[in-house]
Amino acid sequence: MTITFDPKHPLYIDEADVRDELTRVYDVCNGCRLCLTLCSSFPTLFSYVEQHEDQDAGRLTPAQQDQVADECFQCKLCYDNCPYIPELHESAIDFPRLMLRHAAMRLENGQVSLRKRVATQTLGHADALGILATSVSTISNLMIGAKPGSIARKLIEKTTGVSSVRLLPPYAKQRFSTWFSKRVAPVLTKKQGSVVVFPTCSVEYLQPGIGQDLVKVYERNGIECSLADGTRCCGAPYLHSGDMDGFLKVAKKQVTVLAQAVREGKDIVVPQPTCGYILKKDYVDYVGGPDAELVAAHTYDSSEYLMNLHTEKGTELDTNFTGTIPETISYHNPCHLRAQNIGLLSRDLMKMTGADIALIDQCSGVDGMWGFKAGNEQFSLPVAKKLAEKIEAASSEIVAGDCHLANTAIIEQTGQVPQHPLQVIARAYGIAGETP
Amino acid sequence: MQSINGSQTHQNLLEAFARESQANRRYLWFAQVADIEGHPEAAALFRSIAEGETGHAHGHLEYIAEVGDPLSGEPIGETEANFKASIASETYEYTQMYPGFAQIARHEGFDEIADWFESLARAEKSHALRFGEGLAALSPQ
Ligand code: SF4
Ligand code: SF4
Ligand SMILES: [Fe+2]
Ligand SMILES: [Fe+2]
Repeated sequence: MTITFDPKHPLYIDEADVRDELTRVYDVCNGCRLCLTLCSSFPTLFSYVEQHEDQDAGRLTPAQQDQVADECFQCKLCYDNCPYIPELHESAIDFPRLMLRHAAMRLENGQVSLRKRVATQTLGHADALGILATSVSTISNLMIGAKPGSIARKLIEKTTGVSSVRLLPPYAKQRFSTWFSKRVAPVLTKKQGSVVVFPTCSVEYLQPGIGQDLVKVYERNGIECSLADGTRCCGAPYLHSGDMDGFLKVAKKQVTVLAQAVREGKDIVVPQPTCGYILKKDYVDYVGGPDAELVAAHTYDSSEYLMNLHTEKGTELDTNFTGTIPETISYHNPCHLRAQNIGLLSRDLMKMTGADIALIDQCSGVDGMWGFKAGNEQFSLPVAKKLAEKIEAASSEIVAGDCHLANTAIIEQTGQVPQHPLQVIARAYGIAGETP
Repeated sequence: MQSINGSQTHQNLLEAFARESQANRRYLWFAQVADIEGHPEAAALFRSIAEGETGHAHGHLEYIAEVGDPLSGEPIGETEANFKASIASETYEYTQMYPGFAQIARHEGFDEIADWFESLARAEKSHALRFGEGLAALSPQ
């Protein structure tokens, strides 16, 4: 078998090679078991290996190997956990990336069901879907707003492959970029920096309010905001479903556009952790080259950028919080923010308002688009339920979280509507939210 | 040098070996936490000191080896003996230690920890099996 995470490697999608590599890694995992409770992939894997007296991972059938991989939703927690990662150990195990390689192999060999492929097309074309849906948002919200489990949702599921039992994020009436281009930008008194806001599909189409609050909070701190022409979906839905060609096509364009913005002296801020992870890590690993490195080095999570203003010499964060501040906040730390290895900066930022923060460190089970695909809900729902239990136990005044998809799962499981940390900061400054 | 067997120094070496071994694993875990928090320099510091603790533990073990394996009591030193001692300790873990721990955890109402112990019992069994294969490969008939 070959240890490779490079889609251009001749054996990257070679079925025999991928299956041998799965055997090698599954065997190490079976002897380690550290990731037992992170998701259902691992218990499934261990139960298959235990079916054999000699615990030989090589005895798994291809279907069993696939089942383990299909249950992975790319949260990356097992990577953070693992003592065998390429940087630390000669075993060079990167479990999530191997799962992506497996997905690419299956897609290439036509082993993915039609329903799943259509779902990827639908969710992967978040941009195209978004343009369509915002123009007819009332209708699409009616449809998407149809009760989970209802006939209408079943119909949508049947035709698009999007799961009917999950609450889907609703589409906004006005896109973020439309709002941005129509607004009158204030004159900045003390300019401290200049950023391109990477809109992300979720802010652009589903939650423009987050983008609006981000811009207002940044401008209050003397950060000039702009959008870059041609920034679209980061490509995560393609990558996470193994469509490497689709991903690379999108990713290369984004790298070119964003690298140009960096050369003009701008940093890039991303309010959605999954997209931030893609810009910081996956573009480097899969696209590569100096432009991808440049983009990665200048990309910041939206809270990370503000905390840098606060901690770095020569810049300053406005800590004059005279607006609405909740006494207690339950903060959900998203997996893809954790995987960025930057610490708990959204928590630290909100803490500066004087609020008490209860940290909720529990996966929501919807990373990427995985949890919303039909056929995956039985694996992701128990994970989301655990999260709901922790939020309910903390019973804070408000819930906050950076990840739009996880927040949707929180609404679904608890009925509480979480706010993005930048929205919490906007309210704490006394900036009113615009009506969506 | 006289044998350390039965001496207070033997006991002290065993205790020091346990502490240094634990120090190594603690620092590696601390390093992982530092990585997640975004402090790569702190992570590197923990990892480099962790190596030092490994060196100390190995130094202790070299003295202890004369008496026998600190975990299984079996003789250790050469690879064949080391395999046998490893199989003995792994077997104890999967047949007695973890099943017993799991039972107690369940009794005390810690179901998640009981599941974890039970899963580890199976992992240790796979370790014992792999070491068995390693031992067999060492001396081909
Ligand atoms: S990336 Fe997350 S979902 Fe996938 S195997 Fe690892 S822990 Fe499980
Ligand atoms: S991914 Fe790494 S830490 Fe997790 S079970 Fe496998 S080997 Fe162990
Ligand atoms: Fe073991
Ligand atoms: Fe062990």
